[in-house]
Parts: sequence; structure tokens; C-alpha cells
Amino acid sequence: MTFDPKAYKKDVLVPLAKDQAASAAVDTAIRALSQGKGAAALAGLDSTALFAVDPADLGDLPSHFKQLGLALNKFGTMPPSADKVRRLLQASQSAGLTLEEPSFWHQQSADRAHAQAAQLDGFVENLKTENPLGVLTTEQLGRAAAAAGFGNIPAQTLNSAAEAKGLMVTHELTMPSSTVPPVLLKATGHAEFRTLLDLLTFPDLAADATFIDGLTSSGRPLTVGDVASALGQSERARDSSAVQDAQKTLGLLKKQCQDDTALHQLVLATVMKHLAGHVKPGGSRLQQRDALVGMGIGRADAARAVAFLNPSGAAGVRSAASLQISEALSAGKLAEARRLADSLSEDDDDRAERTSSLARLTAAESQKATLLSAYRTAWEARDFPEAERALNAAIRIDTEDPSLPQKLEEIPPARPGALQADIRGGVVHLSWSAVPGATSVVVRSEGTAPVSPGAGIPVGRGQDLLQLVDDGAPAGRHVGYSVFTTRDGRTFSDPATAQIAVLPVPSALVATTDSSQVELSWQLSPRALAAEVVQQNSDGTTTTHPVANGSVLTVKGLSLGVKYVFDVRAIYLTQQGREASQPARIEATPRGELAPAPDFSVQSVTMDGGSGVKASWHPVAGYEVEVWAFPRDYRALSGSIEPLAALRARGGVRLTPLVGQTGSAERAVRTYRAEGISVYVPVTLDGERGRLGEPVVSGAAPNIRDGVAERFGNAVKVSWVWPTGDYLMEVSWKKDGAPRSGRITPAKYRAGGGFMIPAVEGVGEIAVATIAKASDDEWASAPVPIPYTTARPALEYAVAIKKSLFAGPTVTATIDPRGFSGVLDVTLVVASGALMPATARSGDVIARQSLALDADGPAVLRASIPKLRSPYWVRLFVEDTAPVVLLDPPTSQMKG
Amino acid sequence: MSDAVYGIDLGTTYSAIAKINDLDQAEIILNTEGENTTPSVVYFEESGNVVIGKQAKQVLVADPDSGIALIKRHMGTDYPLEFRGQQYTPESISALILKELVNAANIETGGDVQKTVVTVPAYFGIQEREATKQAGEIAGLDVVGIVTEPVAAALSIGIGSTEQQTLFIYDLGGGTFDTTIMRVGGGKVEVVAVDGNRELGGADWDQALIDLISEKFIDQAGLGDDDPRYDEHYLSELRRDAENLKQSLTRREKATVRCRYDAADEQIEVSRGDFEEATRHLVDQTIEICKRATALAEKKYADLAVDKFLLVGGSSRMPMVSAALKDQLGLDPIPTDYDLAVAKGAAIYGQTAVDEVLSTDDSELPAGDGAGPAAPKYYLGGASNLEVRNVISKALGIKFVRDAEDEIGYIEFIARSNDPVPMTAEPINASTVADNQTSIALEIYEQSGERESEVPADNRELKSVSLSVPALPKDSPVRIEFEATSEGLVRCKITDVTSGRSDEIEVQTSVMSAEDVASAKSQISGLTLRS
Repeated sequence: MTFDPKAYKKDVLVPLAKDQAASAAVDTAIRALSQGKGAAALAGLDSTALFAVDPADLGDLPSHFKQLGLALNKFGTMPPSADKVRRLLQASQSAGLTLEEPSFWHQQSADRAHAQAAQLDGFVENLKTENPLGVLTTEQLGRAAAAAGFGNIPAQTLNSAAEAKGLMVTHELTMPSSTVPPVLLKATGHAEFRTLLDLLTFPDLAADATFIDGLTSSGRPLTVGDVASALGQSERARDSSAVQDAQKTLGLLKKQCQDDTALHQLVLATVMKHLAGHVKPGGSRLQQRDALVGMGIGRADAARAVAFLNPSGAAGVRSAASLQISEALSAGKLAEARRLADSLSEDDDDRAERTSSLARLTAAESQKATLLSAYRTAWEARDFPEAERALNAAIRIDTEDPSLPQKLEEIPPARPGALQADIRGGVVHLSWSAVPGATSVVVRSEGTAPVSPGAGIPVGRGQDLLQLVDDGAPAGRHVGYSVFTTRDGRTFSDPATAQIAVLPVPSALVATTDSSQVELSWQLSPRALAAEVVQQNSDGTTTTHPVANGSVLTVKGLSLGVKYVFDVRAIYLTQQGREASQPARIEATPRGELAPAPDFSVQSVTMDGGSGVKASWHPVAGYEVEVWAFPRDYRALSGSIEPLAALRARGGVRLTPLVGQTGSAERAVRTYRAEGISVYVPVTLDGERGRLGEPVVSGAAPNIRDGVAERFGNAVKVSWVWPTGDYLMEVSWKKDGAPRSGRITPAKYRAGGGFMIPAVEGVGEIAVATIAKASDDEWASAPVPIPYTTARPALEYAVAIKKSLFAGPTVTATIDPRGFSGVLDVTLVVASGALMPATARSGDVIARQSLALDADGPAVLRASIPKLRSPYWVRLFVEDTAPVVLLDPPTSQMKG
Repeated sequence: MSDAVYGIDLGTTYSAIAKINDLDQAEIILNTEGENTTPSVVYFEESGNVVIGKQAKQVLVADPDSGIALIKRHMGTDYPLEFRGQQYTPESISALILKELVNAANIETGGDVQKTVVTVPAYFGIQEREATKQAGEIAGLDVVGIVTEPVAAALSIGIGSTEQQTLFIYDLGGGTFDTTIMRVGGGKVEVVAVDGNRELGGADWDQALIDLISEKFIDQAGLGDDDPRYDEHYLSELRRDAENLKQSLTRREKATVRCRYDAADEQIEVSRGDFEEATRHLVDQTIEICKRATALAEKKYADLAVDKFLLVGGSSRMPMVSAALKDQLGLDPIPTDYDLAVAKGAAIYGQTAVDEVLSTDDSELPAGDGAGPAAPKYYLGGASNLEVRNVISKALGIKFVRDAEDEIGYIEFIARSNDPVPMTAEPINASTVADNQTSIALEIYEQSGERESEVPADNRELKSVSLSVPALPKDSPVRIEFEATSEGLVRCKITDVTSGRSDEIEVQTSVMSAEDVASAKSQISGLTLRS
């Protein structure tokens, strides 16, 4: 058992000093001990608490009491209860009580329990007398118990003790917020229905009904099913105005209450509203209860309803005051409740109501005090959310105490969070998060962050301010920022802090090069002590150049065309000594004159997925060369220096080389994807301008796709998909080994449906090349070989079977020549059955005809066929030696 | 002059130290801070390091758990305290104050004086006086005498004149209130009557002021039921400020004090009228005690007339005291050195003791030192010797039972309060109460209330001894002889008349045994003192 003097003072002595009843109990015990009452004198006290004895751990009691004695001596008379407990201890010891023996405390627990049980019994008896209705809420019971000194007894024990004496302990009755439609009350205006409950049990009357915790009648639950059942019954009942109103009521209940819970809530609200007219405040509560029982309501619910509606009882005007006290408390008007309580006469014959009201008032005042104490404790600990919670709870109890909202207003918002500070562009950028609606106050000081809003230099302030730029931060110093939030401008939250070293980076860094040197210049903050330049060489080594004065550095002896990286840092003398800023970086390549790329050449190439060009040139030392592509009509001025924007304006496009470039130090080689013919120009770059080299027109015309060559009568038709653009196609082939070629325009191609090679036999090595023309020049793509097959062209035909009522059907077959011209012998065959005739001999030949096909239009064959039972087939055939093959139409056309 | 000796006023709130200087004057010795008085506050800084005085008083505000003030109120009681894991008695803590005073005085004077006389309130009982003496022993000092504060104050004023005067000393200190009526003159001091209250002093005025300020603060700050007096820091701050405020109100009509508790921060104004209204009952109590002492003195000397009414003790500076004495008793009080008179008087007393020119009983003083008659002493107002006749402040008695069934008993007082000491009481003839009684119990009690009461519970048991006797029949005679020395030592002789067997008891009335004192001395000597 460890004894903590501080905790003992706080948890035992201070509350005892404030509790007059408990202090009086200690005084009684001291007197009883001096009168020789022995251990029984302590039975009425919680002596284990008073002496900080843990009944579960009775080890080393002598040491414990020694420490207790020392602590009580040290406390002296502050609080006064310390002296009281010390006297109790001395009186106990003088009376020979064996406080240092565990057996004493075992007996004490038993004695205490016994005494407490007896006291509790008496308390409950008194309570029963003061509550003739026999109904108490758990809160009322708790308040009465606390006021009687039984505040530490568990609620369960209190309830059991009360119920053992015949008191009914219920939860606080809260009225549902349901609005009661007036129609629900109308039916109870009839003699047939005492309360709404009678409607639910129609045609029977409700008996011993409950409605507060649940709906029942005669012990049976009432549900939405009963509503429907009652409605049905009412419809069968003899019609009357009462029954009509009942139907309206039940109908509304049925519609509005989808489940038993909703039904219960609405019935509860309705019945209580109805009963409020019967239970007048000030009336005899027992009489009122009996009246409700006579209305079919169960005794317990009747008592609870009366207790709720008429808490003051039959004490006339004086009880009205008690009711007003309750109402004032409910409305959060604590001061008014106290004023009313103070005006209550002591000879009020309804002591029960007065006691109850006063107990409620005391409890409310006590709770407010407790909450204020919690608020202060939380404030002291700077736990402002808890302080706010406690104050809000106190305000709910006492809405009219002006100091509470004022205190609430003084509670600072939560500390801002996520304060970030960084330097950009030589100024400090701050950002943080804060409670919406709060005013943020930002202060700065050198070194550590300010501990209070007044302890630093104001930097910014504003409601909902979440970021700030501080251009006043002293360069070369470590500064601390604090952001406070406030509501009223007097009380501030704890700060969010950040510290940063203000070391502005050198600005306006420029590198000027010639063939072997780089001149760097920059600007420093006035508080910078010096600068330091670190040169990174291409071989990975570095060279450091301190610059004690000025802001220019010329680095000589560099290699032409080699890229160097320079990091320039500003040096400051801060509180922590020499510190360097972040670097400003610049790359520089010593180089000579900006010259056009010499010896520029371009050739078109074919690559996977398309075409491209391969460009090569002689590198220009120290400069990067890009290849730009321009439209075919672009006239480049070789050697001119142009802004890149101007090149773009003229339709120039910077080409991106493919990865994996070849080339050498002497010759740069790059490959680019490119379609079509363009003017390619090498551009030697110098920032956003470039020097143009000698242009080269190159490229490749795009190829055709999906080329097909097929026999078409006495010709071979070559067809393909044209590339986008204005091109000609050149078709080349060999006829009996001799090369032939021809060109065709898109228009002629469309007209002819392709390019016709006027021969069939001996034709081979067909290829198509795209021809691009630009002025007098033309470029041809690589010819695309077209595979040629000697397969006969296929012609489509359609069949139409026209039925006749009297004669057999007429068949019309229409053949689409598709560019084929010549005579074609066709045979029309008809066959009955489920299967289509496979050959001309599989059915009956209806007609044979030689048709002249040409490009002017379709060829038609008509024939009548005999009446046949369905299904039957109609099909056209040609001989195997025919120059074309026929493609059958859909079977639906061919089937009759 | 032979050995030097310090006179120490060990006050409840402030202490002072003095000695007789080369000019034969009683002179206050300044402390290390250059001040006349040292707050009787002890702060245990860390293990082995103790701070005493003004610094301790200041730091106690922030850390009230590690120090103590007003320890004098617990002298002679069983009141152990724990600081920094070590237990101390009130005597040990007082010893630290004494030790610091002497060390500082030795540094200031360049001497190495260890002889001291320490003052006690006139109203201190035997146990408290013994406890004060033990405090000196624990401090490693040679306590050559204990003198009451009113006597010391009278000595500092001067008792050399041959004309006899009756002085009324009104001594309102920081923790105790004494009234003493004495007749002085020609090197003699005869205490006629003493009365007082060992728990009535300036600290009570301070507490009343604290309560007054706190009530105003609670009201002004709207604290409701929340009483800041339960907060140690609030209380420590206010205690410090209340003393200053009290002193301000002796000169000003109004003063303000700042009160801070939780979020509340208010300036509280207190008027002298408010203060006097809140403490009127305390002044009235002192007046009542004065009347009581006067009545006692008039019983001894019916024609007693007070020549001078002297105010002693810092708290009697309050204007309300003079006003009340004038209004209610018709007296015109004369201020003294207030805080310093007692220490100076103690130095005088001590020097006379060391010079062997002090008589506290009826024994003869040497007429000279062999070389000639004793020289007049400047500090004695020209007298050569000092005779002090004191009275017993609280009645002493023995518990008797009326018969064998009497479980409660009663107190028969052998020495009444204000009886002169040294004294030898008339023998008491008692008898045994049962047949075959083999022991006779002797329980010595001291009056514990302001008036005598025969009820044992109203008195304090000083000592209980048991004399073994051969089995005696009931009603066998027993004689009890009782004497008390001027220093408060009580001797008792109990005699079985039948057999002639007797036993003499020297009642050691202190709470601490000799072993306890030795242990405490060892503990204190291991501590480092800083002031």
C-alpha cells in the first residue's frame, strides 16, 4: 500500500473540507471516540478512505499510518480537514483502536457495511414516505442519495434497496419529439374511447395498459398489426361518429407508423398529451393516478405519468413554486431556480416536493461547480478542448450565467498545426493549419521561437490566415516563428513553432563563356559575408573557389565544349557561426562562336512501323545541335540566327532523336521518325535562339497499305489503301520478264476501282510506289511488292423469288459485274428439300443463259419455276472454266 | 566580564540574536543579510542542504512541501515532519534556526560563542520549555538558561532604578501572546502574574487577512464554490503578500494585493477598516487575557497599580492594538523595540548567568568576585546583580482516584498557576485504594486549558511512574512530596509511610528522550546550513 500525500490531500482532504455533512460525521466520530464508543464510532464513516487504507492491501499498516501522520502534520490546518483527520487519528489511537492491525479493518468493513445498510434502509423508508406515488426516477433517487451522504453507493444497490421497499425506480421519462396530429386526439373526445389505447384494442377496451416503456394491454404487446386489426374491426362496426373518428385515427396510425417503434413513440406522445389535460399540476397525485387507472392505464404507468405531469403534488401555490424550480432547472435558469428555492417556506406541508426540488437544485449547482472545477483544471493543464467541453456542459445547466459564455470566449482555439517554414526566393514562406474562424497571430524572433504573442516581432495576423510570406526575416540569422490562434485577442493557444536559418540563396546567377573560361556573376543578400563556388568537373572531381569579396568569378583553363556545373553558395555568419546557403546552380560549357552545323546530310530510312530519316553532321564545339523539320515549301536562310519561337511560327518542329544513337566525336548521327518529305535544318542552340545550318530536303513518301492484285477478267486489278496526302502511285510489274509501269491518280483509281494491268498471263513482280511531288522535284517511296494470285474474281449475285397465286414463282437473278466484262454462261438450278443443291446436277435446271457482263450495270436473268412444296432452293452456277466465280447471296434469298 | 553569551529570541515568525558588547550594552547582531531579524523559516533544499531565513521564506512560496514555518507552535508536542525523505521533530527544526543564528552571529562578530540563553513565551508549559532547551542541545549549543520573553523584554528596558515599578508587558508575537505583570527595580524582577495564549499571534492576523482577501477574491473573480485556499501555490503567495499588506495597513488606510488562481487574476483592495473588522475578535481575545492577568495579579497584591504598559512583539505594532488597549482598558501603551527587546533582554539575562550574578531562587549571590564588591552593570541599569523570581505558568497536579471503581479519576493540583517558583508543595497524604495493592501509580499532569480543571482529560499528562511496594492493605497511608524549580524541573518523592519505602522521581517532561536528542543532534550536524 503506497501512500501519496499529494493525492491524499487532493482526493480526500480537500473534498472533505468542502463537504460539511462529511466533516460533521467526522466530528461525530471524534466525539463518540472520546466518549468511549470504541470502534463503533467509526462505523458511520468511510474510515478506509479517510485514512487512505486500501482494504485489498493491508500490508505494512504501521508504516502507512506513520506516513499518514507525517503528512497530516505537514498539512497543518490547510486544509482544515487535515487537522480534523489528525484529531480523528489521535482519538482513535487514544481509544485503543488497533488501526495497525489488518483484523481491525476487516471488522471495520463489516461494521461499515452493516451500518450503511441500516442507514440506507432508513433513508429508503423516508423516501417512500416522501413519495406516496411510489415512483422515482433513477436520477431522483441518485440525487436524494447523494444529498443524504450515500453518493458513493452504486446505483444498482440503491435501486435494489428502493425496490425492496416497494418503490418503483424507473429511468427518466423523456417525451418523444413526435408531433401529435390533432386527429389522434379527436377520437378520445368520444365516450367510447377513454384513451388512444382503447382504439388499438377496438372493439375491446384497454385494460391494465402500458404505454411508457412499451405498448401493452392485459399483458399483451400492441403492435402495428393491432392497428390494422382494429381498423378492420372498426370498418365492421356499426357506423357512428365515434367509429368514423376511430377509423380516421387508426388509418393515420397505420399510414404513419411503419413499425412498432414508431407506433409506440406516437402513441406515447399522444397519450401523454391527452393525459396532460387530466393531470393538473397541484392536484392530488394519488387521486390523479387512480383516475388514470380508471381509464384503463396500468397502475405503474399511471403513477409515472402523474409523477411526470404533476411533480409538485397537492400543495397548491407552494408546490407550484417547486414545479417552477423544476421548470427553471430544466430551462437552465439556475439562478432563478435558486431564487425560487430560497423563497420556499419551511412550513410547506408538501415537504416531499420541496425536498425533491431542492435536491435537484443542489445537484445542479454541484454539477455546475464540478464542471467549473474541471474547466479550471483543464485550463491549468492547457487542455482547451476539455475546458471547452466542461464549460459548454456548465452553460447547459446555467444558461444565464454571463461569466460562462465569457469564459468560453476566452478559451483559445486549438494550437495550430503543421507549421512549415521554408525559404524561397530569399523570403520565408510559412504555412500552417488552424481552426476555422480563429485568428492566427504570427510572430518572429531571432533564435528560438517566441513563447508568447508579445514576445516577438509581429509578422502577420488575420482570421483564417493559413500562410504568410515574411520578407522581413533577417538574412543570415536563425529565426524562430510562432503561430498562435485566438478568438478574443486576449487568450492565445499554445504556439506552433518552427525555426529556420534565413540564408538566402545567391540570385541572378549568370554564366558567360568563351572557349576556355566561364565568367560567373551573381547577387548576394547584403548580410552575406562571402560566397563560395564549387565547380564540378566532368570527371567527377570538384574545385572550390572562395569569393571573399564581390560577386564575380572567372574560372579559366576550362576545356572547350565540356560542360561544367557551378554551385554558388552565400556564406553567412549566424548565431551558430559560419553557415552556407543552399546553392544556386548553373551549368556552363566553354565554347567558341555560335556556328552552323557543318556537313549536314539527311537520308530517308525505313524502320519498324513507318519511315524516318537519318541525319548526320559535324558537331559544333560547346553547342548543342538540333534537327528541325519544316514544311516542303520552307525557305531556310542558312547561317541566320533565329529565335526558336520564330522557327516554330514558321511551322518548324524540333525532332526528337531515337534512343541508342550512333555517332562519334567527329560526326553526330541521329535517327528520327518522320513521315513524308520535309525540309530538314540543323540548328545550333544558344539558349532560346539558334543558328541555322544548310537545309536538306529529304524524307520518304508514305507507303500504301493492304495492296491486292487479282485477276479481273482479262486484266489484273491492283488495289490498295492510299496514304494520307497528295500523292501519285506508280505501279510496276513484269510481263513475261519485261518491266512495265504505270501511274495513277487517286481520282482515276477511284473511278476504276484500282489499277488495271491489261494482261493476265505472264504477269508478275507487281509493286506500288508512292510518288511525292514538290515543285519540279519528286520523291518516290520504296516500292511495296503486291502478291499476285491467279484466282478468278468472284462476282456477287442476288436472287429474288416472286410468288404467284395461280402460277409458279418467278425468279430474278441479278449479277454484279464489279468491273468484269465479258460473256458469262450461267445455269439456274432449283431443288426441293432441306439442303441447298451443291452442284448444277443436284437439282433441276430451270434455265441456261449466256449473259453479257460489262461495267455499265448488272446482268439480269429471269425465269419461272414450277410450284414447289417448301422448302426449295434456287441457285446460279457457272462452269469450272468460267472466268469468274459466283458468290452466293444469303440463303434467305435462295430459299423458297 | 567572563565568557560571552548570546541571547536568542526564538520567535514563531522571526528570531533575533543579541549579546552584550564592549560598551556593556545589549546589542542586536545583524544576520548575513544585514538585518536585525531572521524569519523562522526552514527550507530543505536537497539532501544535506538547508536554507534558513529570508531566502527560505521566498522559496517556500514556490515549494511549500519542502519547508516549514511557525514550527514554534508545535514545540514540546509529538509532531514529527518529513522533508526530503528525512524525519524531523519540531525541536530539530528549531535547532536548525538556533544554529544558523549563532553561526551568523559568530561570523559577524568574529567570535566563537556557543553559550546561549533562549527565550520562551511566558505561557509555555514545562514540556515546551524543555523542548526549547533540547533544541539548543541538538544545535550543539550550551544553553545556560531559558528566560521568558516578557522578563527578557523588561530587562532590555531597564530594571536598574531603585524605584520599584509595576510593568505590564503585552507581548504579541508572531505565534504566541503573553501578558506578564511584574514588579521591577533595583536589579530585581518579580513576576506577579502571567497569562496568554500559545496559539494567538500575528500569524492569526495574517490568516484572518488571508481569509478576508480570499473571500473578496472569490466574489470579485466569480469563483463560486471553488475556494483557492486549497491551492498551495495560491496560499503560499498570499501568505507572503498578506504579511506585507498587514504591515502596509499599519501606515496606510488602503492597500491592494494581487491574487491569481487558475485563470482568475484580480487586484484586491483591502482597507484598514476591513482588516480591523475581520480581526476585532482577535484583539478582543488579547484584551480578555489582559483582564484575566490583571485579576490574578490583584489577588496577590490588592493595591497593585500598573506603572507602565509596554508593547512587545512585532504584531503589537498594529494600530488596532494600541487603540483597543486605550479604548477598552484605558491604558496608554508604551512601544518598545518590539522585535528586538526580547533578544536584548535575553543577552542581558544570559550575561548575568555567565557572570554568576543571576539568582533565580532564594540562594545568595556572591557579594563580589573576591577582589571587591560586584561591579554595577550598565546593562542592568547600574545594578550589580539580577534577581528574577518567576511564577509557574500552568498548574501542576497529580491524578487521584476516589476509589477502586473510579476509572476516570481527578487532578489534585499541587502547584497552581502563577504560584512562584521555585516552590515546595505541602506534602499530600494519600492512601491505597485496594487490599494487597503492590504498586502505587504516580501520574503528573499539567494544566492544558486557560483555566484549571480537575478533569484529567482537560489536562496534559507529563509523566507516569509506578512505585512498587509490598502488598499493602486498603487505606494504607502514602505521602507525596512535590517541588518545582525555577527552571521548571519537577521533583517528586513518594513514600510508603507504613514501610518507610520511598522513591524520588525527577520528572523529565520532554517529548524527546536523551537518546532522541543525541540522534537528532547527529542528524542536524550533518546538514549544511545556508541563509
